[in-house]
Amino acid sequence: MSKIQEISKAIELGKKKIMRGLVEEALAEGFKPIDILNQGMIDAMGIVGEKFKANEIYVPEMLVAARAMKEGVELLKPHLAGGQTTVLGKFIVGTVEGDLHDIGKNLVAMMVESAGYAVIDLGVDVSTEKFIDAIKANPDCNLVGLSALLTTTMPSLKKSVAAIIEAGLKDQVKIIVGGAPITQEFADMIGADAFAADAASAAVIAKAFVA
Amino acid sequence: MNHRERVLCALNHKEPDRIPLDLGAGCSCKFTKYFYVKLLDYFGIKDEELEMCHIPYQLVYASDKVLDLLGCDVRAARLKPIKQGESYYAKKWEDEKSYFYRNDWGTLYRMPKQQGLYYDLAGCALGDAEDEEDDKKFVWPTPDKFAMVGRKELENYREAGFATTISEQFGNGFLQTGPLIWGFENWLAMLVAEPERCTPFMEKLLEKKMEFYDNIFDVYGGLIDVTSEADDFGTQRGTFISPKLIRDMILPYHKKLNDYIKSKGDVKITLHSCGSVTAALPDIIKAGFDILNPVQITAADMGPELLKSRFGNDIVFWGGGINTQSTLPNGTPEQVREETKRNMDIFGKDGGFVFSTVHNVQDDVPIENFIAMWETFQANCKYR
Repeated sequence: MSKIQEISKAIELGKKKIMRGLVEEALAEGFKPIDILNQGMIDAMGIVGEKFKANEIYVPEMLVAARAMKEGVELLKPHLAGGQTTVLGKFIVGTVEGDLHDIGKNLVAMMVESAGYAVIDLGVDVSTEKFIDAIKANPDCNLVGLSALLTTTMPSLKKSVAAIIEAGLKDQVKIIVGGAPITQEFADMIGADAFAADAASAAVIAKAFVA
Repeated sequence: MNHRERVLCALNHKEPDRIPLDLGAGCSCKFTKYFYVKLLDYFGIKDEELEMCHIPYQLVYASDKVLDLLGCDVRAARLKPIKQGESYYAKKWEDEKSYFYRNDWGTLYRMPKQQGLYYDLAGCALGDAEDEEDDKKFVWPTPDKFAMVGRKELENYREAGFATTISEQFGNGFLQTGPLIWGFENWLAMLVAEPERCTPFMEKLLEKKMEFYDNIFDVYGGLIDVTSEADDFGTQRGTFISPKLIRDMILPYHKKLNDYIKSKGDVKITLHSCGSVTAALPDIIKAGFDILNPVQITAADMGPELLKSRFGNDIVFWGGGINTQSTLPNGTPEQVREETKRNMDIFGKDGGFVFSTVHNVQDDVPIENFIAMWETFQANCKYR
């Protein structure tokens, strides 16, 4: 097994503690940092996402895999050109106004980051204005994620998506929405580009947007 | 057949005279504050004081008057806690934008002052803990004792022929209490990466829960028909953690607790577990649970036909009457009627069903939809 394959395996199994050794060894063996990132880490998280969607693994295994990757990326950063660890773009994500839930949103942020996006997490109870200001302030942002857990905050989600479209930002960003009561039908109705049923699907969709 | 006989008959998987009804009493069958005000208004009830029963979800105890008007077969004990010692963490405060409170478990909750309908998690006691040494800093709450005066209330309910329930718990379940102390992501990662940190916590939780039930039975012994433990195993698409981990790591504690509760009284035990829990249901049943709530029929693999045909002989469905994620708040009254009737037809067969909404009735539910559901229930609840 090559060192890159070992790194990939370690991430799949969430072995955070052995990441330092593996990354150092891979660099010493002359593997390019960008290959370690792409083939060792991002691809491993792709496999993790697939396994999650197939119910072969569950949220805890996905979490520890993402934490192992985060550790690996930190170690790799000084070796990458300009510390650049993101290849696909920038993702701005938040839970909509009036809604304070963030478990699902955090998982989505984590998986989209693991797929190769830079992530700006605006947190919870995010106003429409805050979403729009953040998109405008980050011209390299190409994907926005909005989350709502409550039936009572679905109108707030609709309002924010409408405002992003209204502000003429659809040339810059794709919009992805999710949350327990959200459906594909609702996403279509409010004019979002995609609905993600879970964090792994969000990562797959995020990748597909720039493919 | 009185209310209690009806409920017990259904809980024993036989058909009573009609499907029993729980709107407003049992675990997650209650009303949020603002919806309850709409209901009072509908019934033309004035000057009723609201009695809160759950602060984070802003739920109220429905009055006997309202429960009578609805024809609810169940009554919940309104626990009157007597604090055992000072709570280390408990505190309440507010700032310009939000109300805050920290409970006995050190869990911080926040509700926005504007348009705030619920309190949500905003922090926890061991959010930064990294190892067992840090874990030791947690200060356990002591289960409350309860005022003896509460016994009279349940005696009256029993005398009036109602089924009775204790719908409160000490903390949350064995899977879902940890997240309140370490944070959701930390706890779930610990479960697979550092189980040695989770096990001592769950052991201690079991001990404390037993003490809680000691205190409950000291006051209410002989008067309780149904108790409820809450442990959310499901998400919209499946279980949070693998069914194997639920079976090996979580349910053994529930089994011990259930055995203990049943040694103290002839009660049926509910598991409140949101989301898709079908994959864990065989093990939930083996752990000694008699009743599943809230029966989230729109989650993956939770359709009424599937649940009833595969598990209907082995567990009672208490909930599942109407989908509260779309139909009840956002559907038309006609859609509400249609779905209510369909779910009653499927779940009601051969007993084993207590009609309630899937989870508490929330503020955004139009009163017309609630009444459409209730009328449909009344028109179709009789067994032939």
